[in-house]
Amino acid sequence: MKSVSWLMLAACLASPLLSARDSSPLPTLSESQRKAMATSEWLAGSQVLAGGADAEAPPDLGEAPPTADLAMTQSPAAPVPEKYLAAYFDARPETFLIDPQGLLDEQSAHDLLGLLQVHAGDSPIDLFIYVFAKDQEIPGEVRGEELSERCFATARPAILVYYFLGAPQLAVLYASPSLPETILAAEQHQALQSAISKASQSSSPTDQLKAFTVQLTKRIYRMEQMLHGITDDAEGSKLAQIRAAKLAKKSSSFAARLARWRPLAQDLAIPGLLLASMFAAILGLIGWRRRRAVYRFPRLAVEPRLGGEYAAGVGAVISFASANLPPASQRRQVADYLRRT
Amino acid sequence: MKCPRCVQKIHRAASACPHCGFMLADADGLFSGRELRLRCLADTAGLLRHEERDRVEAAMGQFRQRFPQLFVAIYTGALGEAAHLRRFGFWLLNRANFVDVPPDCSNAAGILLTIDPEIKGAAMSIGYLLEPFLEEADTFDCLARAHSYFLEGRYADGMIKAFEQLAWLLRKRSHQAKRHPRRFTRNLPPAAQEEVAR
Repeated sequence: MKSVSWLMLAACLASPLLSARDSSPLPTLSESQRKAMATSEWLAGSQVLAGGADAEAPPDLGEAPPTADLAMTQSPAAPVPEKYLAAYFDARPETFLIDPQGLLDEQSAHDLLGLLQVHAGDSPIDLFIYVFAKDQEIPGEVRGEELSERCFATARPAILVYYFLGAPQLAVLYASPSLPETILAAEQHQALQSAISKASQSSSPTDQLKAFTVQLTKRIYRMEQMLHGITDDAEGSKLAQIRAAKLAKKSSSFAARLARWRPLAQDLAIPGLLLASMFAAILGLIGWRRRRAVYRFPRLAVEPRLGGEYAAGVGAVISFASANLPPASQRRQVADYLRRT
Repeated sequence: MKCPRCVQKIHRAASACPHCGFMLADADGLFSGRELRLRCLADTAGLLRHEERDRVEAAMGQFRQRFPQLFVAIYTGALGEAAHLRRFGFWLLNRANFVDVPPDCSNAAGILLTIDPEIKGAAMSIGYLLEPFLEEADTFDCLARAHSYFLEGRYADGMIKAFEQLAWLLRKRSHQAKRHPRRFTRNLPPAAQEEVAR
């Protein structure tokens, strides 16, 4: 028993010595750290929180330059030739695809224009795509906001996109003032990002533009859905006006169709009316005659029978004693004295 | 053509039933030998209220307008036996003097509806004028139309419905008689058939 207690005492005394030999030495502060700690500029353990020894460099808290800037810095940008500026920015474009420089081949331009026209037919928000070369720079005096306000304030709501062929990430989107910006702000950014990401999946510049456009039209449709719910309450909103205009267009087309038939209808109206009134009169006359009709029977010479001067014909006799039997079962066809009781 | 007593077929111009010997004189003995004066609507059983009488009389008047040669009469009363209903109809149509029927209209143009509320039976008898145009089944159709109303004790409605059915049948027969008169002369004497053919 004594030996056991001695062994336990020895183990207790030896354990701190063993643990001290395994653990690392305590950290020591350098002179600079002491000074920094005194001025509260240094936080103990910040290296661990910042990600280790590599995080010693102070984090760059400044805003990252926009992708466009980065791209511009990658290759020196040439301004859009002056001769095309008027075609691009002077007035509201007449087509949805603005490519005065002819950067797209004919087939691609045709396809894209068809797509944009279909979109315009389906959606109350038009989509205008301005095509520039990848390395082109829009002159400083041209501002997208100004362009949208100048050219797109009064007509149908529209979304304008400056698209740089081969560099979808440089695309910039502007909304016309007729679209409520407060509602569009978030969706606008997401739509552009989504279109860029879709375009990035293609390799050829024209395919990228096509993918970009398709995706953007989808997002515009979503925007329209969003706006529709909101603008229904807002009296006199642009979209409501557009819908009304569409309806008016439809009704005007109906009116046009009607106008085509009007001469024929006018020609046939009077004879038709006469015919209908004649038909109604004939029906009325038939009804009136039927109501007033008098029916007669020929007087046939019937020989008297059984001594009766006026009648000998015996009609049916019926009993209405039972509600459970049909009339046919209660018809009395046999004389009472021949019937069994 | 059936005997009102034994309901057996009798040949034309039989002065008495060849089966049971029944004739009008027997009916006179059973009911009354005297001539009876009564209105077309004789509700001796008191089945109809004042307003119902008016409705029924209006329906009878309408019938007369449509068929000016004919008239309909109604008799309600207790007769005792169902067999009596037949005989009574036969007897009444021959012996009654309907005071509200125009004098030029004989009882041969009459249609009599007899109702006995005690034995719960109804019968329809017809005069000689309509005999070629109506069959027993036709009169049964008219009574069957009124049957459910009679069951419920709505006698006025039943009478009106029976007359409506009768009017419908007679309209049809009238058209048929105009188009195919020979069809209705099969049971007539040869002289009458020749007359129609001419």
